Amino acid sequence: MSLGSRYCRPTRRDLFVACVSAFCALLWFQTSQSHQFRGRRDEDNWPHHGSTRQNPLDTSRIAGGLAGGAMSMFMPSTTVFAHHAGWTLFENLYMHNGSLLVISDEDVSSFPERRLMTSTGRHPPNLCNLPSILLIYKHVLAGLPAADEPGNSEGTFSQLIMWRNT
Amino acid sequence: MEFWTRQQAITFFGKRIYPIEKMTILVNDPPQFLDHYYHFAAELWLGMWRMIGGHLDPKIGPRGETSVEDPVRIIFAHSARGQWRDKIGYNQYFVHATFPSIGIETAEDWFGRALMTQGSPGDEEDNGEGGSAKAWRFDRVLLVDRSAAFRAPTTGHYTHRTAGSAFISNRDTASPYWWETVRRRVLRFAGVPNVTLDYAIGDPIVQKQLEINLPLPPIVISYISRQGWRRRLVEEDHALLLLSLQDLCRKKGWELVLFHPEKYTLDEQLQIAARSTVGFLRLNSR
Repeated sequence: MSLGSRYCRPTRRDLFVACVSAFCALLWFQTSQSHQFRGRRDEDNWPHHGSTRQNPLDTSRIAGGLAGGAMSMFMPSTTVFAHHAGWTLFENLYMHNGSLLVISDEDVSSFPERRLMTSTGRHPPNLCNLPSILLIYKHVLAGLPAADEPGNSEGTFSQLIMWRNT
Repeated sequence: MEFWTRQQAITFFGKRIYPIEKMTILVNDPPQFLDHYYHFAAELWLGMWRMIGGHLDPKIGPRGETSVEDPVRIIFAHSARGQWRDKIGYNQYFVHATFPSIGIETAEDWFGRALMTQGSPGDEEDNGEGGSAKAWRFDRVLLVDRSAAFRAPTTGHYTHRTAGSAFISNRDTASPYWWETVRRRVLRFAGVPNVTLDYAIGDPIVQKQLEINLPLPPIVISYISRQGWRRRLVEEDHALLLLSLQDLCRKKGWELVLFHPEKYTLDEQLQIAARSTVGFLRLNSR
């Protein structure tokens, strides 16, 4: 019998100590955990939100969309949930290449007029808008030099942006 | 915005549709109308919650309790980087105090997303499988468009405020307490105590339902002074007005607050606003 195995073999006392400490650990973690949960349920400690229930409107709407066949799994039809000029709540609105798409077999006339839902998003008198977007487009995608770097012929545009932001 | 039939879309995209989950607020406005918090708070934010809260939960409670999940992201499709911010910092304050977890995307991200969807369309033979063009699908989206709002009489003719349209859209169904959700979240963030928040529950019938009995809130008149700014009163007029107000408030037992907003933090400004029965006097075109 080697020295090592004699020293490693647990005695009754070791087992007892191990059991007691495991039990203590269990108690410790249990209580601290329950404190945590109590704290988070308490609305005073969690001030931003009142009680939240699941919204019943969700499931019915989506279930209706899914019922339309296998493809609707990927492509449920667009529906308008609520609308008044300038404010439209859609379900399943699509975007491709920057354009919003209403995908539906319903007649176009069953949707609100397009001009009452959207516009170009630009404001004609505001010249800064279009160039600033072009500029970002180029910076982000082509890695052009930043506005303050030499050789940037688009400097005027970014100055316009800076002017707008001050 | 384009209208496509399902067959058109299936041919074009095949199954290459990628969901953007939960509620998105998509703001289609130029930064000109975002970078000032009057427009942002009193038009965009007011209308936003009138649409989302007002339509999805007609039973918002007197203390703003609601079943509506917070919107997950807001996209400023035409505002670059910080262009949607106002000088004072209220825009972000309102956004994150109302929805602490909301993510913000701007024009760069919108362009990035647009580019990612580019590709060759599929064809009818294999139901679009062969193509590479893709599309994002928004689970739920609130599309906000200022120009579109002005094309209808509610905003364009009567109110000249975009939120007017949102308000009209559900005037018969929205909860009378619809705004409490946002109001309380923002003011609680500012550190306004619950007692003050409950000033808004004036109706004794509602108080009875809630089993509370609130004393009448104190009457606080806040004179928001613009002295020291460009558009302001002549100094003597300001002094006279202040004197008259002091006189009035002493007689009536009201509290008068002379309020120079610029001397306070955003938190403190909102605390004073929350306590005020009447806040007044902005001597400019707004």
